[in-house]
Amino acid sequence: MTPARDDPPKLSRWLLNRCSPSTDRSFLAGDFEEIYRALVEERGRPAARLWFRGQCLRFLPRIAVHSLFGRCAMLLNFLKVAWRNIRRQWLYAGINIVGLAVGFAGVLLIVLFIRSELSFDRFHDRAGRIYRLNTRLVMDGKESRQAVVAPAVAPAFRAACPEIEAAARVFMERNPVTIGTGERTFVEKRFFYADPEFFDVFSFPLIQGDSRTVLSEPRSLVLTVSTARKYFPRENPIGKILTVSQGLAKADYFVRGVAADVPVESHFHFDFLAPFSDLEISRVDNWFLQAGRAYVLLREGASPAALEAKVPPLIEAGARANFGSTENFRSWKAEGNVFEIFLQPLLDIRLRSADLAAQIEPVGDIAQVRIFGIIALVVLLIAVFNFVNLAAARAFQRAREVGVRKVLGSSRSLLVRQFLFESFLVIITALALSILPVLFFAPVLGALVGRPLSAAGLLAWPVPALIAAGAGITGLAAGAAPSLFLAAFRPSRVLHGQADPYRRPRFRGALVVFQFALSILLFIVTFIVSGQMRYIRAKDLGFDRERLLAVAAPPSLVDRIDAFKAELLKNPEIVSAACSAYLPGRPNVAEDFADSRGDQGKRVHLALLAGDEDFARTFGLPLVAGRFFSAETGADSDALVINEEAARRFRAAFGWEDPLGKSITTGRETGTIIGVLKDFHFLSLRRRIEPMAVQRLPRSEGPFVVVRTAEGRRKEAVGLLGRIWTKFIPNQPVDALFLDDEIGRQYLSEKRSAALLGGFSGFAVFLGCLGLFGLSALSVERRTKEIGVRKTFGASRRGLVWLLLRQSGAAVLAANVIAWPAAFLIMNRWLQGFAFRAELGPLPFFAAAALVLGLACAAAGGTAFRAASVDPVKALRYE
Amino acid sequence: MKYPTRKEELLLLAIRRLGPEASLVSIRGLLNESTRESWSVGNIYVALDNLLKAGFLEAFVGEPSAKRGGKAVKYYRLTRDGSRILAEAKRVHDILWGTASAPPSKAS
Repeated sequence: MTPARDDPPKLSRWLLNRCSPSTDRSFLAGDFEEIYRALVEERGRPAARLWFRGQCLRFLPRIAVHSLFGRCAMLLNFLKVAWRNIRRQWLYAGINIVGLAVGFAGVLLIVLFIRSELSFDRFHDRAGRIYRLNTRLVMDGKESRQAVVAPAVAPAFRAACPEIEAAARVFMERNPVTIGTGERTFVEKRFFYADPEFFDVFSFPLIQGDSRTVLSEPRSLVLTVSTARKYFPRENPIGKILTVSQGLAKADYFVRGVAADVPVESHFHFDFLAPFSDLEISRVDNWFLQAGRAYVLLREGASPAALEAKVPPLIEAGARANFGSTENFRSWKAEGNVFEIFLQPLLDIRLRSADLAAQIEPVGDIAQVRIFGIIALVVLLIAVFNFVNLAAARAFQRAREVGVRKVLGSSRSLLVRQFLFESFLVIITALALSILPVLFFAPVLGALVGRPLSAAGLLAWPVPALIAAGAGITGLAAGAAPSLFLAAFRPSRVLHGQADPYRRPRFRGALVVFQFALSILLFIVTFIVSGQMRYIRAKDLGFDRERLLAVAAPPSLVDRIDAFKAELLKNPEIVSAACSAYLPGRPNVAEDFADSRGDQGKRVHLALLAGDEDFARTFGLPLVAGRFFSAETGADSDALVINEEAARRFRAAFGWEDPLGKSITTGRETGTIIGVLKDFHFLSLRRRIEPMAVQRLPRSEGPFVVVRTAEGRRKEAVGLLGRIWTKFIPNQPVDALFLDDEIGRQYLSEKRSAALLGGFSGFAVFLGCLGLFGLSALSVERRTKEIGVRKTFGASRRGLVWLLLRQSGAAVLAANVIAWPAAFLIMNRWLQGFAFRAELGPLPFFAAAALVLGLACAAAGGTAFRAASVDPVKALRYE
Repeated sequence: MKYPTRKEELLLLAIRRLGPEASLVSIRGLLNESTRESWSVGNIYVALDNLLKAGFLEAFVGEPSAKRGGKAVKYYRLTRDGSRILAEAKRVHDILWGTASAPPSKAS
């Protein structure tokens, strides 16, 4: 049946109907309808519908309170009873409230983290219409997906596709830039270049300057507010000049705009913006020169799929410069090679681009967010199980109260309401209490995840609604079970003391087992994750990273770098020093090499590092064959030193038994192999060792000076470096970094995950133990008489403790059956992500089981021991 | 004797004024008109229900009609207690006001 045109909104009407008291249901529906119809006549249908919905929302809470408690008197009575119960059984009430509060705090913290992850890049007004252009390249069977495109791509797209409203290329300067006003000089790492339409695509508000013109003239600069304050603490920065030096180049830039600081939840953060056209590469028409990112803003209603359909012809046109003709490009593609450009929604960048290389900043991972979501759920479940279990167990104590109430004429529904009210009271108290730890731990968690998390995030929509819903469901679940079950008592039997309301141990037992299983699972996961982290930290990288110190060499040092090195080496704190264009784990260039005298089609892909003659000694890389570069000036300029993996590849590709003395070429450059280094992890440990070659670094270029410090003289070496640095470059701060820290940073996300996991497993187990403590205390109390009888008949204290502990022990053992296979499946998959992984042994499993068993016994043992020590006379007199 | 709250007093007065026509809809209409505010149905219903339970009002059921979607209407009327409490409130009001004239209303 279709509703008549002027019927009130269906859903609201249904809600209203459900919630009205049954006696007045039809009158109220009539009243609402009458007013609604009058409103339709008076103000039109939309206004009337709006009114109806609003009324419905305002009506529901009022009517809910009204029908639950009638007048305030009932509410007061419920409060009084609840308060008496809490006072009489303060221990259980305390365990309930504290347990729930701790659980809620844990969940709220995770919610804070997840909200922050999910809110990345959403601050842009047109976030839903912004896309990033990414490249997919398959060459020689190797696929690479990268978050970069050639600078020539975006303008070509912009010109050919009317559905693009604006497009901006963004380039981040990878190498540190030195910027000075004359008075102040700093080394900056967040120097960006962008097209003028940057401010049309993104919503980075400008505080000073006109967004249409700030980037349109060469050598303009936009600063963020805090950067502006750093360079010009008391002046208006607009129109001021900043000297930007980078490599050998030096240029004066005019500050033309000040932008608000980039929000934490952005996938890139700039401190400086310069026009993209200032870059040399911006004018290079080579679609295969992937440098910089490009973002496009689509028009309202335009579909990204339609745009992607226009891409292949554009690429064919663009590739002509490289391939000479479209035919060449087509035949190249026919060989199985692929060159594609695809669109990725801006909102997917943070969490759904882990498979894309060359990101501006490390991205998050949706899997991690899911894992934390699951942990939140687990913590919440454990807390709720505690609550349900304790409430059900406590029902025994209240059986008499319920019996008396029933005899005096209390209805079943009234009793249910009373129990629900009590459970909500506990939950609301716990929620209020949990705010304090959340406020306290939010900054701690922020430090762990590497960006500030403020508890204010909990107030942002839709978090409050989620919290309310979560609390509501918890309250209903926890209140419903015991209240229904208690309310169903037969009063006469309870009052005669016959009924055992403590039935359904199976249900509770299952909950306890499940709880322990979750705790054990979390512990196993924690152990394995931290084991893998330890393994990585201890894993031999092939070189000794402990005592390596690196410093970026500014252009002014370049011609004096030998003197600088000599000055350093005069000191006993420094064992050796080398120039290097490479730092472990940092991205490096790679080229395809062919045998100079052989088939040019057969190529080996080599990563290219560059260093001077001291490179191998400083990094501590042993030679397997041949020699390293000679110290003579100008010698070995076309020499290459390869690693063992490269030698193996050469043997496979070119059939070389001994690569020494052989010559390889890229087509443009040719090099002779003079030595073979032992394999070392020049990339992340997550990846296999790839073939690599070291080039001789030309004297005049030294992006980094790497220094090996003497054993145990780290601190002195840093001080010394600073002093010598100041002697050479007086007006610039030294920016040295220890390579073990640098390498550690690559595993930061795993390390953080491990720390977070550990923390939250602790949470879960604490909650589990708290619940167990409460349960065992109750069960001991229930068995007081039994224990007294047993003692009278000569049971030993040890036997009694064993009797009481047996149950919890059995629960833990049963929990292992669930937890172990689950943990094995999860962790086996996680470890697959590492090229080098610690072995998945049985130790973490047994350790977790033993730990939880120990904790459970400790929680239950105290009460058991006390009960077993009580004078049997007292125990028998109980009740 | 307990005095009615202001809301209850307004409701009782409206019912007295409306006489046999006092249903939730007409009460709300009168209140909206006289106070120049929009009263929510839930608000009025809960207050009426409380007055009913306290014995100041009684209810009787009227005829269903099409404009109410075929639902019957519930009419309210003052009980003796209801009239008495209203009279008492008026007496107190009169004494407290004395001979002073009412100050001009803010919203005019």
